[in-house]
Amino acid sequence: MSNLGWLFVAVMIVWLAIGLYLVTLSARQRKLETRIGQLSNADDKT
Amino acid sequence: MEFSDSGRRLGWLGAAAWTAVSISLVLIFFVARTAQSAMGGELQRIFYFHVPAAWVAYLAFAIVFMSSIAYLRTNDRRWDILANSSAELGVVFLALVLITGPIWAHPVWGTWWQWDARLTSTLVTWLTYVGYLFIRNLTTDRRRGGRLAAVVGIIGLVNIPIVHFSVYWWRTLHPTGPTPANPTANSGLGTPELAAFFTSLAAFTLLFAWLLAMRARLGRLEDRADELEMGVVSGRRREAVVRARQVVTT
Repeated sequence: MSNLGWLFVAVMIVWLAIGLYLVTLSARQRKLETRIGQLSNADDKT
Repeated sequence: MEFSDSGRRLGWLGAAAWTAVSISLVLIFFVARTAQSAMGGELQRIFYFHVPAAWVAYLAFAIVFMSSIAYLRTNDRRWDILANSSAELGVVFLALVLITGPIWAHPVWGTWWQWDARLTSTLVTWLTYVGYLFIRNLTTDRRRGGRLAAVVGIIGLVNIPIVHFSVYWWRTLHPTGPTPANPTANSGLGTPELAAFFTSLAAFTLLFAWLLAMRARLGRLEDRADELEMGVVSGRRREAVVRARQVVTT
């Protein structure tokens, strides 16, 4: 592979990794918010 | 969802980070000149990601060190959450350093990896902080796990000066490169390259600050969810619900 090709691979890895981390963070947050929402709603009903 | 002042600040920080990233990408690919072929030619542009990622990892582990000391002194969970969040991000950014370095080294050095002082000490540092993240799960008691991890977080910082000065202390293949104190030493960098480098450094730092704030918020949210569940057992549910809603709306 040419140097330009390897540069492309490296840059893609950097931004895909950061993007993947962001997606994971966001999924974990949504899951927790849902869990908190369910627990809070259960409290409101009691 | 309504956002409080801290939620808005987080939004502004994210906007600033991505603006800086966009500017740095323009400078890296359209303003900085191509390096000599002995340094990899076009491939040398990896340096604009590799070095800022390493700087962010140093910063992350310094925050782990300071927060761990604060946690052991005060037993305040907020310090533990900050240390854990920073360690997680440090591991991500140092992994990027360990991946982008060999991609540059393969055509320039003719090998993916050398067990020299800089590369080996960087790998040892990465493994230390992966261990830091794992050690928390050795116990179900969150506070006990946090205290164990804090000890590793304090001792782990010893790695950073070893990594940084390894290229001066031992004979290594790794270039010494520019430093903020002497940015043009042995680097062949001119004004366009320095502008690209320092903009990228600022962009990575802002990105790290933004991700750290979001990750720490997630940590607080986890605590509140646990508190809410525990509240069912202890009968102090109402208080836990109020605290959980405060975190959700920030």
